[in-house]
Order: sequence, then structure tokens, then C-alpha cells
Amino acid sequence: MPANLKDLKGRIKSVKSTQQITKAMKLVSTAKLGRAQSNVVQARPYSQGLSHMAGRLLEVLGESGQHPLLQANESKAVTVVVLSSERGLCGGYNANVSKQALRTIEELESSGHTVHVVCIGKKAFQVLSRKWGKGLVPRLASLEDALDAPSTLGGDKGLTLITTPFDKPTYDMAFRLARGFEALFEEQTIGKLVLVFSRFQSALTQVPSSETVLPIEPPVKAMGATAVEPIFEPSVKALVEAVLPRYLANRLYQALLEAVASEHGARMSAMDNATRNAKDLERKLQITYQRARQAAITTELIEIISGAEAL
Amino acid sequence: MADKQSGEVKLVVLTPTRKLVDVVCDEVYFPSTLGRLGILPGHAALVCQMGTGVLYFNHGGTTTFMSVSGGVADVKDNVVTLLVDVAEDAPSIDVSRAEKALQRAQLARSGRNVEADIATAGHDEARALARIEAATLHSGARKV
Repeated sequence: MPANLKDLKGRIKSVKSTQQITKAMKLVSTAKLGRAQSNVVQARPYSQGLSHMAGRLLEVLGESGQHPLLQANESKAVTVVVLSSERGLCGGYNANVSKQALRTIEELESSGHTVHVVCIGKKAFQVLSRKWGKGLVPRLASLEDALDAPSTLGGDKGLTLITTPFDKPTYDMAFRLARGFEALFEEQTIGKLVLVFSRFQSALTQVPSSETVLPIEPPVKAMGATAVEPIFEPSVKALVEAVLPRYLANRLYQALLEAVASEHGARMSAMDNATRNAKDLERKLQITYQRARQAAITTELIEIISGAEAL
Repeated sequence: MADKQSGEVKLVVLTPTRKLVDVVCDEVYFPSTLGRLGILPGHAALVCQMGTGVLYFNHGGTTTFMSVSGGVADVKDNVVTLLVDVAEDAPSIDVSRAEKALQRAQLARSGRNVEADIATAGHDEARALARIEAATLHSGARKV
């Protein structure tokens, strides 16, 4: 069976080259994951400090001066921001985020909300436009365009894809995006802002989750009574006004960072699996190939011997 | 002077992306919205809004300068925690770029008439000025 032998050889070669590619992709993701992970970790002290500060200030302020960002408003419109990746080949990452998004949207819609979905990363966008936003005309906008036209960020039932890549999120991006949502919330165009993204736990575990970021839920105050009331300058109210928008931007930024780290983690383990599978497959093919080769030789020998005997 | 034993202040500068500074120093000066504030050991607990300007602190006989902008400062038990939006270490400031940014901001301010735009341009201008000041201070021309 020489034709079969040739086929087998071809398959072995192709499996080998696939293995090489997946291995390279794994190495790249590992390097990127390292960076993304350290970004997440390095950003932590600030966000801890900020939420601690926000909690403290709100505690001092008490009920007397409620900030508009803290209060639920009348609007039934909700914006759901879904963070996914631009590229595939990262295992169940995008599928999990999309599933979580669909679940969240369904919940919101069944409780009478009008949902506007803003996708960052086109993978979830593709799924959502197929499964949820069938009749909708999706809007594509870069971050700048989206911020210039607030209707792309919420208010009606709609689907928007932000085309600006967020694979290296900067605080500036998060801050501007947060400002956009803040404005919509303050003018009561939207009553709620929900983030759907993959929480980064480790390279192997990413947990898709939904978080309501607007109205801002006051951070849990630090335990233990503050012994001495500090001096507040210029005033507690002004400080709260300065801190809350930053708190919101930071939540967004943290989510963006975690989403990126999750993506690389998911891709890394997916590519690791793929490499392992390819290795297994290669070994099996190799064995089949050897057997076929041996069989071919044996047949040939038998033919020669029986030919000689016949003489 | 009276409190020589506890003559140190711990300074932590945090930006949204990372922890920039974590040192023990003799004194810290930073810009608040109400003007420059100096923190010496034993300062009363204080929470204040930060402005745009130069942050500097002495430790081990050397002075480090940084340009900072926006955020909140928390002073408590000889620990100064600054949560700033933007901070740049003086040696890494590109003065020519800062000067260009300053010109751009000044031009923008004189050209605009919408109030919000003027505020933004004014903010940019202050930021550029702070960067230039930090860089000049760092390069030796101390005139604080």
C-alpha cells in the first residue's frame, strides 16, 4: 500500500507543522500573559487606595449629600459593556464571555429594561449580533466617534462595536470611556451600566462575570473606627466629586486589564492543549505509519520468496 | 525641630498603572488645589484634593522632583499616600516635548471661546508647565 504510506507521511508532516505553530503561539501568549498579569498586579495598589478613600469619604459625608453617581435614576435603559478579544484561538474565552453576556441581557430584559450593548472586542460582537441583536443594525465606531456620539453608548435598544483595539488598554482610554458613560448617566439617558468581562484568577482559571458599575455602589468601608477625623480640603463634598469619577474610571480600567490578562491566559492553555493533542496524534500516526511500512515490506518479501519457491 | 526622633515621613505615590514611589523621606511638598503643601513629620491627618504641579521630597540628602497632576492626597500617621492621575519622574521628562505641548495649549486657549475648551487647554497648559518646572528643577536650577 504505497499510496497509503505516502498519505500517512503527508499527514504526519502537517500535524508536525501545526504543532510547531501552536507551540509558538503558546510561547507568545505566555510572554504576553506575563506582562498583562504584572499590569493587573501593579494597578492594584492604586485601586485599593482609591476604593478605601471613597469608602472613607462617603462614610464621613453620610446621607447628607448624595452624589448623583450613587443614586439609581428613573431611566429604564441599561448599557451592557462586553469585553472580549479581537482574535480567536483562545479556547472557550470568548464563548464564555458571550454566554455570560447573553444571560445578563436576558435577565435585564425580563425585568423590563431596554438594553444597549457596547462591545469591546469583535468576538463577542459577532456572537451577540447573531444570537441577540438579529433585527438591529449594529453600529461600528472608533472610541473617539463613539464618545462624540453618545447615542452609540446607550439609551435605546442597540448594538455597538468599538473598533479601537483595546489589547493594550491605557488609563486614558478607560477614563474617557468612563466620562462618556458618566455623562449619559447624569443626564438620565441610562439608568445602569453593567460590565461583562472575564475575571482573571490565574492562567488556568478565568471567571466570566457581570458587574454593575453605575450607579456606583459605595465601597465597603474599612473596618475599625477612624480615631482622628482628618482635615478635609477643600471640602468632603468636593473630594467626593473628585474621587467618584476616578473610582468609576478605575473600575473600567481594572476590568480592561483583567480581560486582557484572561485572554492571554486562555490562549496559553488552549495552545498548550493543542500542542499536546498534536503530539499524541503525531505519535499515533507514526505508529500506523511504521506498521504499514512493515506490512508492505513483509508482503514484498512473501512475494519474492513465493516467487523463488515456484521456480 | 521639637520632634527629632520621628523625623521621617513615608511617601507612597500611586498612579492608576503602578506604584511609582515608596520611600521614607524627610519632607514632602506637593501641589494641592489650594496651593503647595509641605508635609513634615508629625503632620495632622489630612485628606486633600491635588492640583497640578511639582512634587518633591528629600531623602538621604538628595531631592527628587516629579510632575504630578490631579488626584487625592492622604496624610496620616506620617504616611503620605498620593493617588495621582499622572506622574512623571523628572529625569524622564522630555523638555522639548513639554514645551511644544505648552505652546499648543496656549494657542488652543487663545483660539477657543467655549468655556469647557478653555478649561481643558488651561489644564493642559498647567500640566506642561509643571513638567517643564520639574525638569528644570531636576537639572540643578533650584529656585523653589
